[in-house]
Amino acid sequence: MAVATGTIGTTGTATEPRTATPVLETRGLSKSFGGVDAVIDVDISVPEHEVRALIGPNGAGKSTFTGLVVGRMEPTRGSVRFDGRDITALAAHERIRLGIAYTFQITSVFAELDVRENVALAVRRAVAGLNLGRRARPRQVRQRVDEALERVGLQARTATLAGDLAYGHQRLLEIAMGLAQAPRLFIMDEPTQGLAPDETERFVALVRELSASTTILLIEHNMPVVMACADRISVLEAGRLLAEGTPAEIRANEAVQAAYLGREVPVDGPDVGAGGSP
Amino acid sequence: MPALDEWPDEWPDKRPDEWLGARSGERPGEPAVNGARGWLLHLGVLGVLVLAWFVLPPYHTGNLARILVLSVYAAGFNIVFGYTGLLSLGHALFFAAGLYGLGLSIQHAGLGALPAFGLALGFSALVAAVTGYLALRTRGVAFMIVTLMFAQTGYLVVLYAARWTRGDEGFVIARGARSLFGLDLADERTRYFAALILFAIVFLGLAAIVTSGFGRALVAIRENEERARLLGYDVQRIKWLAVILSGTVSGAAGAAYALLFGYAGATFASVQYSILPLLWVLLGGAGTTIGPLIGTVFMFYLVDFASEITDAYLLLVGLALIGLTLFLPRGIAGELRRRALPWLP
Repeated sequence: MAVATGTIGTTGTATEPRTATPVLETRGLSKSFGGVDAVIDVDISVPEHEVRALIGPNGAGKSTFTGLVVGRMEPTRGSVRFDGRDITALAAHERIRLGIAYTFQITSVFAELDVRENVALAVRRAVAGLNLGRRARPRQVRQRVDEALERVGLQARTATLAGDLAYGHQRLLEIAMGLAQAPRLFIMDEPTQGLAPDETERFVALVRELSASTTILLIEHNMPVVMACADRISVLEAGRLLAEGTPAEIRANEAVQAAYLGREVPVDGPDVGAGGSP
Repeated sequence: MPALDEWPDEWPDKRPDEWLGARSGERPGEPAVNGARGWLLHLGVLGVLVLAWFVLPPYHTGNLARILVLSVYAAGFNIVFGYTGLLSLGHALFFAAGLYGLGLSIQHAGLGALPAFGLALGFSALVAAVTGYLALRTRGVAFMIVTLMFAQTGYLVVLYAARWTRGDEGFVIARGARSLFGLDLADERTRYFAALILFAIVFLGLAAIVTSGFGRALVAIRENEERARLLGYDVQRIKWLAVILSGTVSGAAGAAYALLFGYAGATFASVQYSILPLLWVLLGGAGTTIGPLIGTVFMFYLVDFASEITDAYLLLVGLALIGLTLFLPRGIAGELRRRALPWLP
């Protein structure tokens, strides 16, 4: 199966870049909301070109954790480093400008603008980068927009209003907006939610392809997607980092099975015990 | 009480057309390309306005001069309201900053018209920068209230400083002081074309700005602020720049009004003058470059026409406004853009 080959490929690559500066590194990252600890002392280190999946049951703190990484909220304590630089004190837009792209858990596009303008907004900002005086040339923007839309398969919909797209296509549009930024780190919060099976398949292929040029942090519920995409998996439970390892290791980890796989398997539904995977 | 930045984002930051009850999801997008057609339209409008001087009787050209200056004010308001999606209820502060910036510096400092105009622009930009910086720490309803309060403060200051401003009564700026480059601005023709030149600069300038990267960023913020922020846009700074630009344009209108019509009074700082540009822009079409002019013309002549018929003209005006809200929730130019001219900037 795809999972097995994925695992073999990973163990080799994952050990090598260990010595290099990780693209993303969090130390003791914690967040509490009025006494409720959502994220507690999470240390995560993601080396370049890795696809890291972040999984965990609902309420495990995955979204809070990504919120802290991307700067949507301030941590109670701990630090976030990006490319070796401490970015804990930076505002969200400053972090994005350093080379982070982010897609929302609940699709967030410019619904009243057409597909092209949605991506163009991402490109214009990314081309300017840290240099405020720099402007994107129209032709350059057009080209990068076309490229990004083609990669997600939306090239035929450029003139459609984003809000008129099917939900799955809006997700793809948001991914295209991220791609168009050519990020160093691409954070996707549950990107396959609402995608049709063939779109999900296509997404998995896209992620594998992207890992050659960028580093990906994937928050995902869909276990087959995680198993097929991820080089390594970090498991959060009740705000803490429960386990970390290759898909095979995580699959074999009893603590993970007890905390997560046993209770809430791939498909949303009642507490059906489904210990083994197909 | 939670700190301001922890307030939920749930307050629906409405898009401008939604204030008039347009259902979300009905409106077509902004024009992706502002091609030659957009510029032709703008130049065409200016051409018609030049012709109007030669064609229309003096009564209407007199009105039109006033309308042009007021629609510059509406265009300034449109930057924050129509394009950025911020509903300010305190723009009279900026209009009055320009009006009194020019009026007082001519009246009491004896400045010439041109330096007084420059000073008025600088002053309104400064007022916009300071109040905007503070007001933008709030959003939604709080933003409306804070801007309203700033404007009320400005109004009270005008009344309080009656020794210089002569309060409600106001003061007349002597005809002798109202000349620019040796031209007498109290002269009907000079006044009309001076108003038209200011209008043209603002009209074309704003058309260029709203189709630039900056203008697109404003629209992005209006449509989805959080998404814009997480594409790397410095939303707070961009909004601030929009308020400064908007305040300066509004101030230019105020200064021009004082200069061309020779009068400065506290009414122009009152809440009424904060609401008027909102009505003009809503009627004309928020977030369109041509909307402010259309709305101002429409409203001006509606009042003019209604007051000829009856003393209760506000009743007629109100009814007409209700009708428009019901049938043209996007305003006149907004509806045109939706139905026929999707490329309208």
